[in-house]
Amino acid sequence: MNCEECKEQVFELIEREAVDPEGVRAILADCPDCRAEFEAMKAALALAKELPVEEPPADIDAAILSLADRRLRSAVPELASGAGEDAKPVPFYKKMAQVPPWAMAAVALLAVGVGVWSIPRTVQFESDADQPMFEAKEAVPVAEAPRDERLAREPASEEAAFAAMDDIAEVAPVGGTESAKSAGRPARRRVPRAKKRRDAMAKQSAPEAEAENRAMAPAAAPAVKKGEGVAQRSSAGGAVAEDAAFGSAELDDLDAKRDATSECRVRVGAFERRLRDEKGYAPAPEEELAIGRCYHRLDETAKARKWLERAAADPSTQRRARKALQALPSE
Amino acid sequence: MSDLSDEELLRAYRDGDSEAFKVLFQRYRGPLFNFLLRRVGDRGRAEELYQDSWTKVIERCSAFRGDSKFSTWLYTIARNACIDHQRKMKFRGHASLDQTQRGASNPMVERVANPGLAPDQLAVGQALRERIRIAVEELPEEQREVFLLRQLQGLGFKEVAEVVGAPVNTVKSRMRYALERLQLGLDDLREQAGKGAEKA
Repeated sequence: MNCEECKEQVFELIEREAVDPEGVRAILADCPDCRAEFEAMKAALALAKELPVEEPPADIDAAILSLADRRLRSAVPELASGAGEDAKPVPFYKKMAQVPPWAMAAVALLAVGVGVWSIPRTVQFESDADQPMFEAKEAVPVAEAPRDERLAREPASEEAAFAAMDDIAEVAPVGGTESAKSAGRPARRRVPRAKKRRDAMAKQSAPEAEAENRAMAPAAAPAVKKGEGVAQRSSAGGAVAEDAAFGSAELDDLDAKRDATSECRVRVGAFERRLRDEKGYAPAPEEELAIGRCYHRLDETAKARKWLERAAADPSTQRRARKALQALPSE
Repeated sequence: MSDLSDEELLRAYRDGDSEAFKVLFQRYRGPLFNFLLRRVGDRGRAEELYQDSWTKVIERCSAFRGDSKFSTWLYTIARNACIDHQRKMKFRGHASLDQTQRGASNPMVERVANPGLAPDQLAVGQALRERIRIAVEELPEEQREVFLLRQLQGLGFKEVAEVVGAPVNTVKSRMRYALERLQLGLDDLREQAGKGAEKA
């Protein structure tokens, strides 16, 4: 080993990592230059130990320890609460809260997707219901407008009338809520129950009341019939509270039904005028279906059957038209 | 508790023992703060980085696998925090008034407001420490961090190499160069110390 190699190894010797410590020591003992280099290096290291040491601020230390405690409490709730091995199992809802955010997001996305997928189907079911126009009028905001004004108002054109009717039947099927999905559910439950009630009431109503009803104007007949029925049931001492509520709801339904009947009358009138005036006029299947339903509403069964059968011949309206045909009274 | 290794203490903390963290914190609070202080040369920034580093340790302790020593992991976090801070300062394009600049003995704010040394700084011991502090701060950054990790924190060369991401031999070379620079910079002090010893 020469002096150059020795000087290079001086540092390693101090750091106790020299490759050949004995060789370095031998040269240091003989060579004053190497010895001076060694002493200078040692002195520099000794001085470096004099580097001032400063304390971190106590408030920051306290904040760090507090954070460490808080983190522990949130990460290990069962230990933080003081429960040891006897700790109860973590409840399901807490486990759910620890589910990774991406999993929660995936579930939420799936739920939204299913919801979006189901909306058009719900609307379709509702438009296929037995009495779509009656149900539609329950929920449509238009029904809240002054009735006389609406009845007096003539549609700007027959197409507008058809469009308006279709909008009523399809866009706002039932319920009166903003969500078509949520509106669909009560409608499916409510309509059969209302029908059942109407049937039951019709059976219970007195013969004189029926005669009186027949004498009334066709548009008002259902309302009077139901009103009489409710009054008679109430006077007969039936289930008072329930029936009172039912009677009120039914009257609302009948109002809407009467509106639908008036609309149908307007629509049928426009349709017949068009048939009479326009040679070669061939209504579209959707129009045939709608007009068939209108005739049904106006108790013109033969005409209703004719147009519904035409609508049933077209694949796009076949299913709905057949349902409407089934709803017609048998000949 | 105090005879447990750093890694065992961290594991105990992860398992819910807050006392384990306190022991670990007491072991490293001073060395870490001084490393940061000498690394960035500004007490305010050092305090900020000190808090950030411990916050990261707390947040990421579950990710510590134990492949390396806790000290290596801690100083790697602190060093990365320093690098991020320097990057931000470079982006801002201006130096802090509190920061000591290269070639200057005092922070800019002291040079502007108080050109002379304070009376208490004239005390010999303090003046000596101040000279050493300045000499260390004037080391090139790569040498300074190796010097600080080795001399102040007592990390082995292998650990220092892991923290700075350089080969062990490179780390040794940087350490030797750092000592040579300090030796040159503090030569007069060494002579004074030698004369004082002779007189005594």
